[in-house]
Amino acid sequence: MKRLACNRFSLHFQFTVALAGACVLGALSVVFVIELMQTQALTTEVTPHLTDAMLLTLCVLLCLSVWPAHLVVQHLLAPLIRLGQAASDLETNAQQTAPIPVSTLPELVVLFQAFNALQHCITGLRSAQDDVVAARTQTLAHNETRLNHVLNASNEGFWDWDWSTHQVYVNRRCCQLLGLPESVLSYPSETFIESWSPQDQTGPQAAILACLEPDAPTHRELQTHKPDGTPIWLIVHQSVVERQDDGRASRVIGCISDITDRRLAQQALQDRTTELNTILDLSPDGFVALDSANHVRYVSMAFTRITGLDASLLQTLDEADFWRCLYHNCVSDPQPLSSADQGTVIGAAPQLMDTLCTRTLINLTYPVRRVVEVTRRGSPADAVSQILCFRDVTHEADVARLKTEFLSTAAYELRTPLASIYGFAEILLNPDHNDPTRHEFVEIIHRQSHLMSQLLDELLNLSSIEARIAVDFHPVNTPVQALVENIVSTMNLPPTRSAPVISSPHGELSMHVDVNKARQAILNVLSNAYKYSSEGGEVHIVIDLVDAPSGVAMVSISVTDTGIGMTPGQSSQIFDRFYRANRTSKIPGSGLGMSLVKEIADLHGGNVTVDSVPGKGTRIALLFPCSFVQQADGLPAQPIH
Amino acid sequence: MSTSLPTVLIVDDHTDIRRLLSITLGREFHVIEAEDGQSALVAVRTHHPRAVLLDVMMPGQMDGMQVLDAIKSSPDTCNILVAMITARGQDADHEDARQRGADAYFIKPFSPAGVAAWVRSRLLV
Repeated sequence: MKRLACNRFSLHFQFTVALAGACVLGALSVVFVIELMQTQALTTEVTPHLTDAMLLTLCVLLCLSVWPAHLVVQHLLAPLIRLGQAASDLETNAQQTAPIPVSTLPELVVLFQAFNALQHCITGLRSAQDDVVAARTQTLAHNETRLNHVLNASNEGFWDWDWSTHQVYVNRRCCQLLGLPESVLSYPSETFIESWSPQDQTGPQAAILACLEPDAPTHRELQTHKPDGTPIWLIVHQSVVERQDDGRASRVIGCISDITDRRLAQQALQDRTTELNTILDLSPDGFVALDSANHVRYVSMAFTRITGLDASLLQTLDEADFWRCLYHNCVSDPQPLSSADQGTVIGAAPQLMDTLCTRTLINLTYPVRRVVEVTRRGSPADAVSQILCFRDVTHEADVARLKTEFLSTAAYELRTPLASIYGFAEILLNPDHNDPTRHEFVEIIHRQSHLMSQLLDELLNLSSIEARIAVDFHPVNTPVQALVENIVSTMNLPPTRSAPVISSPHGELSMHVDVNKARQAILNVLSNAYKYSSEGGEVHIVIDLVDAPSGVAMVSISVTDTGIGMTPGQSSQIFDRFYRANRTSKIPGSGLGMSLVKEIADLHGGNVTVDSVPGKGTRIALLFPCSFVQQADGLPAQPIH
Repeated sequence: MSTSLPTVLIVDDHTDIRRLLSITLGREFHVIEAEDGQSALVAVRTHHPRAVLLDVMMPGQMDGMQVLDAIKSSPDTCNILVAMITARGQDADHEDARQRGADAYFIKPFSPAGVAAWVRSRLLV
């Protein structure tokens, strides 16, 4: 404080002395001029000199007065300049700076002290800020490194494209996928766009540019080629983060991925699906797939064909509703199938659903009568839990039923003569009967045995016709009249009956037939004509040429008798196996003869027609394909095509 | 013709079967024959047989099962013994005949002695 007081005194003293001296000199100069002017003793010659002297004196006085002022100003401003310099250093220098010396002027001591305190505080804050910045810079560098690792590990290309500044960031994978040189990594903004081919309208670059348009999709899949020509599929995702006033993107961040494997897998899956759908559509069996929640997921075309139910009606139905829909639309009166059908038959949907674990048969009424076999199979797939297979087994069921009926009827027909043979043979074991009676019984046994043998032969013939068509069928061109005459000459006519009358109004005809089978058919018809006609009745055979409904020329061999005839009802059943119009008659027969005739005619592509009147007779016409016509007037034979 | 022997009606459309049964039963019973269902019912009402040996499958308007129904449904004839003699040998046919009231079921070929033994056991004991 004492030093501060001395400095303040020295400053005041110097300022006072300088000011006093300047005042004295000024006062003396003014007094001197005034005196001169009052005495008017000065001559005109002297006056200019006096003026100069006064001006000089005033200048000296002025200089003498400025110098103390300069000293004072210099004394006051030097600390302030030093303070300003320190402040400037504090602004520009980030490092810790030393405190500036405190000014000697008492008026500035507080200011300097405050400045030093402020400088210390700012330096401290700056140091702490630098620490934070350093830590964050390190974290940022760490994150950037991690991001680069992630980008490289993701196998995806990324870019950040600022359209307004042409600043582009791309990673290496992006360059690889876009087919760009890696030099764009060093100078992306200059080379990114320049490296694109402007003619490429379908490549990834074009896709990226297309995404810049307003309302453009955020992603796009496209196919391009690698430099070696290998096709490659890419998907481009873009996000516009900034837009211009007109809506166009100004900054876009996007990524690009190689989805070739996925697309190839999709293509393979699509091909496989198409293949499976084609197979399923071609399959006569209908399929219904249920998902893991037991809802209908897939309905094949064959199922719709079998049931008439459109797939759209069944989609998403649960299994119970599916069966109800099937029964409601296709089963008017659920009834079990006949015992001839193998398998389980369920009459109501709920029971069917519960028991449908093996082969199950359903009798459908609509749209047409069908017997459908349903099987269920579990699926290990997540999307499909069960597959129901619907197979139309109507034909198989009919065949099985007919087969069972045939066997049952055949057994019945065989049991009847066998009963006679068995019974009379048993009676013959008893020696009580006399010889005439025993002879009668033996005759019965012999007759029934012959009937049984004949029945077995016809059964075998019928079976042969059905089962060995391809093996045993050898049609050849055969003269018709010669064949008929040969049959007549070799057949065992009843002793009292005359041979049939043969006529051929069209001359010699030839037919394309298997001779043995045609012979058997003609012989069966002839035999019936004699069996079912009276002793005096004649049998006529007419060989004619007729046109079938298909337009093909056919040879007609009609056999007409004057026998007992048949009613229309009997005529309609004449081709049924084991059918006999009059069982009570004494005429032996198996009921298979006309069935065999019908099978043989069908085998040749021919036909059999029946025209009968009860009590008057029957006309049976056999139709076989014609091969040649010998004109009646002697013209050459003409082939029939 | 009156006789003290029990009357047995044989119904079959095959002459040989009727002859076979007639020979077998003729010494112990009074045998009458019919070749179809309608004539069988006429014979039942006319002769009141004690037993009927009835074929199942016969031509005409009535088969054996219908004849059986007619016999068993009438109070006058329901006590007549009826044995079915048929070539239909399936269990369902047998069960059908039993439910309709048939007293016996013989499947062709049958033993004449066996049929005679059944008739004898039911009529002569």
